[in-house]
Amino acid sequence: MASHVEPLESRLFRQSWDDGLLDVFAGVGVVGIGLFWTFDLVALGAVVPALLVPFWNPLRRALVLPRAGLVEFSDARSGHNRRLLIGSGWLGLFMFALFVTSYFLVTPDAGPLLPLVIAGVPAVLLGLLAALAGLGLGLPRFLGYAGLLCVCGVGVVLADARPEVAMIAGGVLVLLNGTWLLGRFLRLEVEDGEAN
Amino acid sequence: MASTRQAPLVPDIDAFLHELARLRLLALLSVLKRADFVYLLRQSGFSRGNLSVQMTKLAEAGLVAIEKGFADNRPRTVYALTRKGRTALRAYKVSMTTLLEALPD
Repeated sequence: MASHVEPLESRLFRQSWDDGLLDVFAGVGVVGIGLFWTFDLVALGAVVPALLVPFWNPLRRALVLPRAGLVEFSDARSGHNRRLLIGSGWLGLFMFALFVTSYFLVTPDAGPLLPLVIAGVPAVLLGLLAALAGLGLGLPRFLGYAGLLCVCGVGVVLADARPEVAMIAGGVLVLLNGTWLLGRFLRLEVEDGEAN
Repeated sequence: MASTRQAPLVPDIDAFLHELARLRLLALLSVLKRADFVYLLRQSGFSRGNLSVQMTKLAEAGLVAIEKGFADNRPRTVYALTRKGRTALRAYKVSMTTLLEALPD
């Protein structure tokens, strides 16, 4: 008889992201890209994830590890995460380059559809990255973020607004949820003074 | 005439592993590469004293390896299942599965 119980390792791995720090980083990243876009510094949006990376380990060490403890998963899991991270990075860069190129090269004779939908594409692309993270890490809420960013993308198309509106709106909601998760984690998990 | 001894119909269950607290800790460690005291404390829900006692027993039995150190000026004790621990847990699972499958519905 096939078991429908989620393996213990998968549940523990998923739980290790429940602190909300990743959500906060994702929200800050999306809002950051949107803000650069607002000031017509579109290309600088690509460096936002790189700017956030140095803060990840110190914040995780300061906020998460004293409360949740240290855990290392199997080499297979670590390898999977590394491949996911590298793949997401390259995919993100590729999509960003593709979009920026098409955004600036789009002309009225590019057809009736492209100029109409182009404003919603960045948010949808970021939504695809969120979906990739959600599937790769087994985090359903990231699939929710993906849906949210896609809705925001459609919203700016319908409202004939600029692309950054979708990114900032979607990013703020992701950031708010991440802040709530992190706040809950910090409240519930009392910091442990010593390991043993 | 020498009698040949048959394998017991009811499989032997390792009583040391069958203790609930130790079994939970071994199950946790079996799916992880390593974890520290705080992580096991959170995941097991045990008191610090109970966890410390059980981990010491598991280490004395050679089922768990202990690595003591410091991280950010705080003492940190990290645990990992040993090869012996993994083998013992696998044998326990086989015994329990055999026993439970032999039971009537």
